[in-house]
Amino acid sequence: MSGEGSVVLKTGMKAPDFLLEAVGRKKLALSDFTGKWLVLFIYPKDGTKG
Amino acid sequence: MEEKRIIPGEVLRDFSLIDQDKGEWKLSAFKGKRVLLSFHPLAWTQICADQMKCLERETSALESLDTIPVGISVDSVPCKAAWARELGLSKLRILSDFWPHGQVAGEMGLFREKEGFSERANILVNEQGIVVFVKVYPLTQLPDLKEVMDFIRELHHSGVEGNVPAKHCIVDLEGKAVCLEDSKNTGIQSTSERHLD
Repeated sequence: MSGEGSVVLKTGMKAPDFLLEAVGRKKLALSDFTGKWLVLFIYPKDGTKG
Repeated sequence: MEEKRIIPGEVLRDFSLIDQDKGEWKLSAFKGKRVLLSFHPLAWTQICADQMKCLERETSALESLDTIPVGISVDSVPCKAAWARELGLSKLRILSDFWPHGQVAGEMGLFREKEGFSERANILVNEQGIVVFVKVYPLTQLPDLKEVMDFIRELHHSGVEGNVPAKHCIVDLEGKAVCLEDSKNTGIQSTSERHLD
C-alpha cells in the first residue's frame, strides 16, 4: 500500500496527478485545478483535533 | 493478504483491536463465552448503521446467552468514536481494523482488496474459540440477526457445545439440537447420538 512506487516530493517537481473521491461522491483530480494555485492539506485522521 | 474464507470448525488466531473508546479488545479475554464478530464495510453508511443498531439493541439479550457481540470495520478509532456517538451506542463495542489495514478481516478471508474494506459478515466463535457459524451477506443486505440469535439459542439451550463443526442446527421433536455437519455432507447426526461417542 505505501512505499511502492512512491516518491518524496521536492520543490520544483511536477506533482503527480491523482483521482480521489470527495464528499458528495464527487471525484476530484489534481488536473481539474490546472491553471490555478492549489493547496493540498494532508492530515492524519478525521474526527481528531489535529 | 488474499486468504481462504474461514469455515466452521476452524480455530481463530487470537487478535486484539481498539474499540471506539480507545480500549483494547482482545478475543482471548472472552474465552469461555461465545463471541459474535459482525463485520461491515464502512462507518457512516446506512446498512452498516442499521447493522450496528440491531446489534446494540440485542446486546443484552446476546449477553444473557453468554455471547459477546462486536462490530468490526476498517475505519479508524476517532471515526468509530464519532459514529458511535451519532448512533447512540452505549453497550456495543465497535472495533477498528484500521492498521494494518483490514488485517483481521483479511485473515478470515473477508477483506475486499479492490475496495479496501471488509465483507458484510457474521462469524460466531464458541467458548473454545472454534468458529461455529459463518455467513457472508451481500453488501446491500442487512444481516438477519434473528437467524444468528436463533442459532445461538439452540446451542445455548441444547447443551451442544464445543467441537460441533455445525453450520446449521435445528431443534428436533425432543427439543434437542440436530446439527447438519459442514458442506462435506457427512449427514445428520443428533445430539444424543453424539453424546454416545
